[in-house]
Amino acid sequence: MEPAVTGRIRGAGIRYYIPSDPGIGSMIFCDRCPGRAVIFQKYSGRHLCSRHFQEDVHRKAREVLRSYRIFGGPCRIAVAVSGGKDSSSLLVILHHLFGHREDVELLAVSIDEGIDGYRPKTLAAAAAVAGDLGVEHIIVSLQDEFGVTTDQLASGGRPQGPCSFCGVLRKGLLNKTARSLSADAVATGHNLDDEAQTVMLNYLKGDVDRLYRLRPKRAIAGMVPRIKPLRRVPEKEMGLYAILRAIPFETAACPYISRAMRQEVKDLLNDLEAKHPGTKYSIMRGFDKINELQPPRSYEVVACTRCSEPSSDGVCASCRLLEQVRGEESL
Amino acid sequence: MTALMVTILAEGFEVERPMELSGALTYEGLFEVLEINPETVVALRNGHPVPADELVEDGDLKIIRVVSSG
Repeated sequence: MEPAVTGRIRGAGIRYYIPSDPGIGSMIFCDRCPGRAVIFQKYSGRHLCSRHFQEDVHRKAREVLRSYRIFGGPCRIAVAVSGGKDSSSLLVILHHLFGHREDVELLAVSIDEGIDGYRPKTLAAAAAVAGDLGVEHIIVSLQDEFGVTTDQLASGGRPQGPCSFCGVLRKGLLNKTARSLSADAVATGHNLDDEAQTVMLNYLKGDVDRLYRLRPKRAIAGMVPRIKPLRRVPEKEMGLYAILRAIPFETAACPYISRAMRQEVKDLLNDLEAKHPGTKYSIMRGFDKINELQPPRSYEVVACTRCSEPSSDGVCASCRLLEQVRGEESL
Repeated sequence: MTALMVTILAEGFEVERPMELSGALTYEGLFEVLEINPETVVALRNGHPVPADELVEDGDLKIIRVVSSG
């Protein structure tokens, strides 16, 4: 078939053909009101204006939160805030949903991993968001807790790369901090993309055990339950939300990110989503269905013999990693 | 003819270039030409976010990368 219009973009230096599409109007309105659309959600087929888009994000978060069944009574939520768009928006969203409730207390917690040229900027963005909302902001560092920074871990030339070290230490410290604050839950800014990537990564690695660890867990002694209120919101929409709400966020990426296989899966899923809208939701739904088939497993947790933090083994993952690092240093 | 000033913002860098379009094109079509995955960006025309299936019009277009890509 002949393309109806020949197009050319000067500046891009590319010649190409534009198919004519008489169905496209020049201005598109919200499906729910006369407002102008700010987004076309291909996966839902809907156009939404700024207000109805934000309501859609709030609804998804509220539905996920309801499934955790912890907001019935008084509770204190530690919100892990990195200064990126997802966690900063999460704090704004939780404040919007619970700010009027006197029995729900929000605290912002940031971990300083010691990544020069990256973390100082993001910590400033996190402090700005918490300050705007009047939410108390607590910063704890790997240096103070473990005497090591992620920069030092990265310079060791280890085959695993710094992410596995940083991730274990960061999660351990986040849990310990939340527990010391008597938090009932730790909320993280993981979005739909993050969750779909984790599911895919674990499939690709054949790591079913790790896959099951993604599930909402039952209470485990010493472990503060983790909740992911944004797990049904695509990452792109979190960016749009932050822009619409004028939330200050830092766009700089962690300098070590390219070393992780996750980035490859992320690019793959974005290509699939663009060609087949709804793919990310399908991955999540499929995973949720598998979970329903599997009875909840019991986790045996003991206190680490070195640091007393909860561990599935005699010595926890953080202490084992630190031992490895210190062993290398003394060689 | 559609005249645009396109600014692409991504992780600390900024590229600005004027463009001229002949014929009708959606923002999504423009992303394709620029080899940008529509899942990774938000486009603002004169400061307002636009849906990807809307037709490109004259003005300032900011394409902000909100999802890191390799």
